[in-house]
Amino acid sequence: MDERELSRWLREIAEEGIPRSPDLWPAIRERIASPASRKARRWRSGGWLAWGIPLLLMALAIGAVASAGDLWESFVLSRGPKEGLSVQLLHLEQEQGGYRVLLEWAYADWNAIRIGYRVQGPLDPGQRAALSEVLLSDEAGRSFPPEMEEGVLGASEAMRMALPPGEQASILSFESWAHAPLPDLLRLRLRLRLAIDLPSGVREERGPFAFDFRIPVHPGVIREDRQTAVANGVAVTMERAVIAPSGVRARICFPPPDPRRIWRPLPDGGAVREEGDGCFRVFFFPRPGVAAPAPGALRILELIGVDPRGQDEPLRLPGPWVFPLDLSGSEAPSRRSSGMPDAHFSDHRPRHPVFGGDPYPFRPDGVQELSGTSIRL
Amino acid sequence: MDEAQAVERWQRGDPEGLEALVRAYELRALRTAYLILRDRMDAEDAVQNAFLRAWEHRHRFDPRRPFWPWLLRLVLREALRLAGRRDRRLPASSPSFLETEDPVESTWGDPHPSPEQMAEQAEQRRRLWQALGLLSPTQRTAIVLRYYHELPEKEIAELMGCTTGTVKHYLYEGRIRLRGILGSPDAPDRKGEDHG
Repeated sequence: MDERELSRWLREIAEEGIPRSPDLWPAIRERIASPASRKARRWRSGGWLAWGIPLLLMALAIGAVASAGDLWESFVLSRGPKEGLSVQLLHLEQEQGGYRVLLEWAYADWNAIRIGYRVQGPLDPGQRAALSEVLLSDEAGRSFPPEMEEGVLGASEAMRMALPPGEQASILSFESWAHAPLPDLLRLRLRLRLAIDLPSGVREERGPFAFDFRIPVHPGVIREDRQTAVANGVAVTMERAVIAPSGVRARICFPPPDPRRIWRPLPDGGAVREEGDGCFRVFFFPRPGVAAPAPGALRILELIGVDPRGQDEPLRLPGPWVFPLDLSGSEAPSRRSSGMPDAHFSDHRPRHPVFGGDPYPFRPDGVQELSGTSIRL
Repeated sequence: MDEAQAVERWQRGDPEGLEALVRAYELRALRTAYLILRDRMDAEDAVQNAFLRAWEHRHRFDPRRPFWPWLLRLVLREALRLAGRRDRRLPASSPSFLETEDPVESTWGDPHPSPEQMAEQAEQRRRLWQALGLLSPTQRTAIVLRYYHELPEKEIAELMGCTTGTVKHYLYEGRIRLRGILGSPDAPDRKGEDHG
């Protein structure tokens, strides 16, 4: 590839991604017209792509929502309690420097902890308070790394959703995978700081805000029976997998087929994070619009080896490497993890949507209809 | 309405002036933000924010100068701010994070390529898209300005608010990483020489 090709391909990628003028003017006009009528915006942060989108879509699909309090309670609770997937309502709030942080609810399972919160303050139209620091830990000293934040602000008739001026709402997701199995009840402390970028370019901070609360934990299934699959002469081992209502996470490892290269697995949907020592964390959460993994299996399609010196072409070793995962809830005793105590298998499993065979456990009816308005699945 | 008229009306606070500017530049701005953020929705957020900033700070614009570079600076600032928030807060979105979504279709190519050429070009573009995701937002921005907008390093430095030395560093690091994925460009720095 020469630099002319690079220029041409960038143009082609841009034209493919944005084929025509998107007509941003109506949204911009609405936002400059008045704070009360500014368009709802959403943001997403983090790399675990699969997670927050269904939740946000669910929030948007709830329908006419007059108050944000109703929003946050209803969108999770709409599917939660009757399916045995409940959140803990918190209704905690703190105020500092003119900004109020309201923790509305929290949910935890063996893969993820999720917290719904709102910020109220003197925010200009289109402006939001970002998180400059966020820490979640429990009384045992375990810390849960943040993965993703997804939120909305503003008002939109199209979405039939309204947050008052100066208010934003979002969902924070943390990873709990590394600490599974978790106790039935977690005593957590969330500490966060807000950062507000002023039009002058100055960044103001507020906080720290600290909240202590307890939440029940939804258990899952842990597989630690070290399945190994071989393809193209390379053995890939799934060392550990946690299957929980919020998704499936697995740790896979393989010896580098060529130690002079940096290798990555390419899964069939989901995302990958490098853990070091030839191991990777794979996350997937079946959802519409993405090439879903085969039912009940984690599939690694390719291993890609990159020359760190940038001199040689990348090597791509095709697979697949397939690791069966029982998502049906009817796992036979003989297929349980070797050496795992029964306590790791939840009595709640059959009642969870994900274990009951629903491929999109957090997706409400009607989500697809919204995909054409402003949210891309 | 030509650009001068649109600028004049926009600076007087006439939304129709801004509308004309939005319609003239939204596509170029959105494609730029899309290459930097690699997400269409984020790109739309960045461009909308940039036009809002343009509206709020319209009195700061010197009407004797062209509008596009001024707007582009706002777009870059918003795109980098969005990207920075993602990366700063959430380690999962660091450059080492490989996303497996691939929005690049395999249906484009030269006017009359063979099926094999089409497949190869589509594969290269797909790899380029993935490789861009392995760059830092600032490296990606420098690469986009250099190779998509084909700007000289001096202008890139002005747009990014840094020195040309810093731009050279971003471009060098970016090219090294891209080469690691895509193979060696023929002459790494042929177009990288400062034209300004």
